[in-house]
Amino acid sequence: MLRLVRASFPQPTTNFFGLEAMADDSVDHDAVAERLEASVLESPKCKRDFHSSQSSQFKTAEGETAPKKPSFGDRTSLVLPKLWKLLPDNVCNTFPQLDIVPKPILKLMRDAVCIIPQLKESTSSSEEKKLRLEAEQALTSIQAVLDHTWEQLNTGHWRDVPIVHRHVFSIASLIKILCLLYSQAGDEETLLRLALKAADMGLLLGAPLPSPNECLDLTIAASLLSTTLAQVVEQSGSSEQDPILLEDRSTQFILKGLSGSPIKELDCPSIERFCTDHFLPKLPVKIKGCMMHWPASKRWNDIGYLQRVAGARTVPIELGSHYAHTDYSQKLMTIADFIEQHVVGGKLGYLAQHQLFEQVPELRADICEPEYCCLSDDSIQVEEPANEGTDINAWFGPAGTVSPLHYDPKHNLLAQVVGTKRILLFPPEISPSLYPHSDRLLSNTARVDPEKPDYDQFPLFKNIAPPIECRLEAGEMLYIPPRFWHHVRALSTSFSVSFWWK
Amino acid sequence: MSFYYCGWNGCGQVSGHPMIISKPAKLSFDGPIVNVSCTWSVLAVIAGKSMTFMGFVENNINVRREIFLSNSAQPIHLSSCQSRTLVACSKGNCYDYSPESNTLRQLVKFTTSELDPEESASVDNSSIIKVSCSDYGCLALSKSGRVFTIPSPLVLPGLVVTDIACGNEHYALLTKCGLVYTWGSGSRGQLGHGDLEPEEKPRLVEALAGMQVCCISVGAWHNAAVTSSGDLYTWGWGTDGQLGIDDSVTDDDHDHRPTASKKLKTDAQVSVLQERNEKYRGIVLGCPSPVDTSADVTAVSCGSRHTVVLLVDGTIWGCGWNAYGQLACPPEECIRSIYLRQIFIPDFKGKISNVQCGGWNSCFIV
Repeated sequence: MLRLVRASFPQPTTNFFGLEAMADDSVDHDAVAERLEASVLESPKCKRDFHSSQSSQFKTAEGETAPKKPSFGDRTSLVLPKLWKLLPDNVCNTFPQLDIVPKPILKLMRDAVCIIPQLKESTSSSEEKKLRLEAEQALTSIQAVLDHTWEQLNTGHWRDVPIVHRHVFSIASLIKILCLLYSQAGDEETLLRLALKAADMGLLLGAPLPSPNECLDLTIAASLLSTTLAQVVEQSGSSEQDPILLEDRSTQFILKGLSGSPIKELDCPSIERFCTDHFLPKLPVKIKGCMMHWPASKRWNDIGYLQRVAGARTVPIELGSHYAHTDYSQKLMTIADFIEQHVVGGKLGYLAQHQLFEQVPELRADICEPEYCCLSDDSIQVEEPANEGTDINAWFGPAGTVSPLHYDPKHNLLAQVVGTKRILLFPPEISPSLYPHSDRLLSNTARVDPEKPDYDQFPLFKNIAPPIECRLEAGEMLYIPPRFWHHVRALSTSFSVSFWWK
Repeated sequence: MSFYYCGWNGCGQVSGHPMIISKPAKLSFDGPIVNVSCTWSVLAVIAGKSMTFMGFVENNINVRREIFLSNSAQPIHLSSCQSRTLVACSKGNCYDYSPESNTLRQLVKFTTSELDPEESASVDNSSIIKVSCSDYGCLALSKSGRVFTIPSPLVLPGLVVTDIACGNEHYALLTKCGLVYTWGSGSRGQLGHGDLEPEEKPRLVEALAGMQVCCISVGAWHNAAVTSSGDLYTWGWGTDGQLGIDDSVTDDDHDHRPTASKKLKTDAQVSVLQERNEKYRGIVLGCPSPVDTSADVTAVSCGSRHTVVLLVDGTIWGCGWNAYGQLACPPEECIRSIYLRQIFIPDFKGKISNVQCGGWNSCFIV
């Protein structure tokens, strides 16, 4: 199961799509194919679409047609020099790590890079026209590099894939962004959307080469593109709207199956108290009153805000009942589409255990790492919160999303930002009574469903002490000790943030 | 003699043509086309007695090089991957050509040390007639039906092998009796054993054991086999619909067939089609399953993510990825096809004798 793999290693993007992790379900391949489509659809086909749209007219947001000349939008021309700076000179020759890349790949990348500075400096319009054509060729080349690298990334187990292929994917994604924007083969908004998607694909599948001055940092590229896109969209006329509250969309779930004894609650405890009473003895506790200062508390239940800040960003979505179910699959989609189809639309889908805050720093700024995360098993000394040691994940979805009964190897603070979740907690000692999966990848997941226990199949489960039950409301945090079994269900539309640390 | 070529052309495999060749281009050579092999960066052809490499050769694109083997040996079979091309020659030995550096070297005799003396005596390892190449491992087949995972022999007691094929991370072989064996990684259903487990040694594909298979081909993660009765079977990872789909799983009246495709579709039908497309793209088939064709299949060939079949009536059909024109139609018309669609070669009236796919390319040999 993905969660175990992701939780166990310091590099949580490893096994991102978990081809073999979910192998016996053989259903997550849709997701992989989706990635593929994402990259393919943008290339030769869309280019053609741009041609046709260029020669005719563009649809504005309101559906009217308005003539628009195919030239740089002001916003794009402002952001281009900043993006260009991210690409180091001579990028294909500078890094010794790239020496083992097949030469034809490097050749095509190099040729694509060479086109861009010429475009920057072109003066005459006839020359410019010729160069635009070359930029489109460069775009086809760089897409072929990405597609070819995608095949390498999908050969062998994800964690065994040579890192150099991910380096290439990352660099090629940046080149693609530049080629897209310089080619001007479409209207500003379309190009920015495609460029942003390319950046996100690079962030999800690639790996940055260590590089000075924030070069090759796709996070920065994506932020620049996202901000610019938001400005362009705003400019095109959508007026300021009243906040659309996420919570309005929720449908309440009637709890069935097992219920437990209520969890202990503390109101903003001191670190010392938390440490002695809960961290060291490894006992779960609900912590209230510690998230009032989070900007997210006010912002994230406004759909409009999430759309503005991150709507155009591409993220992996889990589809199906839950990750251990045979109907499980993953799909890449934009946050805007996810909100529309799943969060508002109500179709089951879960933005689960995704390092959204590394991908979208704008949202990272809305949350604060709790000070409790500075506690460490090695020493009880209180230190400054060390960001390095904490994995921060986003969990966003409609009512009804479920994480089946499982445990994680790290300390976990689950912070509820929007909506309500119900969590059932079982201590590590009763593991045998929960019948963990024998499969190595799912060994941290129980076969018993505490909401619908099958006592014939799992008789030991009948005799256990009742679990601890926690109803986690917005503004509350739940401390889940390492290896403590937990089953999580969203009772309403829910957005939570988990902090994992050792 | 000639063949038609379509698909990715970004390394200048066929100069004077665009990066994406969606209308098959005719390539003519002196002498009959013996064998063709395509990769992402090179098109390699044996025509008559000569061997030609086109595309990325010696650190540049748009290069065409004719290569001669020493001692007047004639090339009889070749197979290319990103890093190298293996060539089997008429004298029974094997050459390794690197297009990147334009260097050719003869491979030394394969070792027989892993065989017991009795077996070793019977190995005619110097007589290689077929090669198959991937960046992860290479196979060679001897005249007497022995297989080498170059350079070591594969121990297959009692089996006489007639064909070999390499995928990205798996291998397949065909025996004289028409049995298919696979081994390597199975994580994407490549091996056809009904599970996703790896196999260290060749293992019989039991689902095909009742039939006599006469032709196999392997893509990056998928496989195709043709039986002596002309039936097509596919298995593995259908990232882009390269497995084709059987008629029995479709629900409307052959509307997806190219023969009926001119009929206007209602919105509802279109949405059904889209849904099906969505469903069958990315599917994994862990067991060989039949694909319906309008006539008996005589040959099949798999590219990285597409499949092309030649039927007994002379028509050619293909399914899978078409982003680079590998199904001989413009990508904007069809970026991928989950069912077999007919391939037409404009301005060609003759008969295609064979199909040979590789990477993102298809070759139709006249």
